[in-house]
Amino acid sequence: MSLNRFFSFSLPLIIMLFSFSIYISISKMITTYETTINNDYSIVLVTTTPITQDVIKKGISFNVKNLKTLSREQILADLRDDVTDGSFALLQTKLPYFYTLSLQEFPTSSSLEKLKKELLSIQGMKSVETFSKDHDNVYSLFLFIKSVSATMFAFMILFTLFIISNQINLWFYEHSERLHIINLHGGSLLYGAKPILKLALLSGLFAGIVVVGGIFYVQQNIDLIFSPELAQLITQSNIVYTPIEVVSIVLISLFISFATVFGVLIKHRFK
Amino acid sequence: MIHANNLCLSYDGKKDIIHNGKFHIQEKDFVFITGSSGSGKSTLLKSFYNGIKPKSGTLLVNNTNMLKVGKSKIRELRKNIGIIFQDYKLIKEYTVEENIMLPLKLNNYGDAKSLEQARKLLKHVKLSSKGHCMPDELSGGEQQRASVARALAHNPKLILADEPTGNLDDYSAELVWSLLRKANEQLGITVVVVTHRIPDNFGLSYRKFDILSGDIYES
Repeated sequence: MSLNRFFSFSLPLIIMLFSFSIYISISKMITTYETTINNDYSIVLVTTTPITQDVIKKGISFNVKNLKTLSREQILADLRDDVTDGSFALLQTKLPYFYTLSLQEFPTSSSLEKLKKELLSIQGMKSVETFSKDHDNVYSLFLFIKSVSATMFAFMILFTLFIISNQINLWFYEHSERLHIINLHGGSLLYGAKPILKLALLSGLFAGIVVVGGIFYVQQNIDLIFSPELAQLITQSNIVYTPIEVVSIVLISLFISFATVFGVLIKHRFK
Repeated sequence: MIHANNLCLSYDGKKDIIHNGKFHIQEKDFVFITGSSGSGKSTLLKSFYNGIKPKSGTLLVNNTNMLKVGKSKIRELRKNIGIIFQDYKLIKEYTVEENIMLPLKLNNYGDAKSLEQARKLLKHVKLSSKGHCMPDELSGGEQQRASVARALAHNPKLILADEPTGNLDDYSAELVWSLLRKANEQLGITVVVVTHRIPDNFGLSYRKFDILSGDIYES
């Protein structure tokens, strides 16, 4: 097995696995971001009559996490010193009811519009104030990066398949005489292809280990590798790979490697 | 061992190279197939290991019908045949020893047993000191003896040889003929050899098939 061929197998796999881990990391960042802003944001509801969580649940197509009542007394107390007695008495009778609504999932800008419409159609609903638009912009940016990384990952799979299958075809061409002699003696194509299967196994494992090692290295040295702002964002996002994800990276590497070899083997078998 | 009736062989399906061939090769026979260049003698030998599928007729090798045989059955058939070629067909990435071990490994002998048998055969073909050499480090005669050793390694019932001495000097050729004679005489292996010249004073009774214009004649 030449070192040259070993690396021509491993390198595309490593590049593909890194793009996969980037995709996983971004997905994790988005999930963490969603959780964070889900905890931070609230939708403020203003109603003319008291309202319950059940009424809200029935009126909208989103999963309600909770509905908190904002204390009218507290609001009135805050305003007490700023208005005259007459105005205060009027406020007491006219002041609407305030609530903060939280959802179980993070809504996008389009679903937020829909939510607002549904809330306003509930009887007694006077006004609905959604949260800052900044969150939505950041979220959209994250989603964009996620789709870019997913596209990149898909391209990398194609690139890897192309490079590896070319290498295997080259190997078959170089070893055609050996395969022919083995075939003349009753050996199967699979028997003749043992070296390339061994290469697929070793390079698949090597690529998986390199990428997993790379991920751990990056995790341990975030401050050294990234700018302080990005390092903070990554640390806050808590991108930790579970053992299952680590194993899945190695398995994907082996799967792609073997699938390509077997694909080419099948092609040669029916030639 | 080999039974042919109305056997027709053709590469393009139109022009017959062998036409209505009829013969019967018994176990322990030593058979020479002769004919002029391009007469179809190598093609006939090829058909015995399914290197070419018969166009029509009957061809039974080791009771395997070569007209209807599937890929896995071909593999089984070939595993039980020893084949020798004019150009030796040794695997250049393997050592001489590993080349001889190939049919043994394909027949599921263990590594240790394969190695033991390969070394025994290397001694038999007078190549004991060349086991670890690569084939291109050997002379033509030595390569052909290694090829004979490979053909004998797994004690096949049938050895097919296509011009085994075609590229060899007289001394090396005689060594190969003597190995084939011994295989037939002492081990009872059926040997079918394609050659354009049968050695003088062969020292063993044999049968001779002549191919002339696609027809097979026994003389």
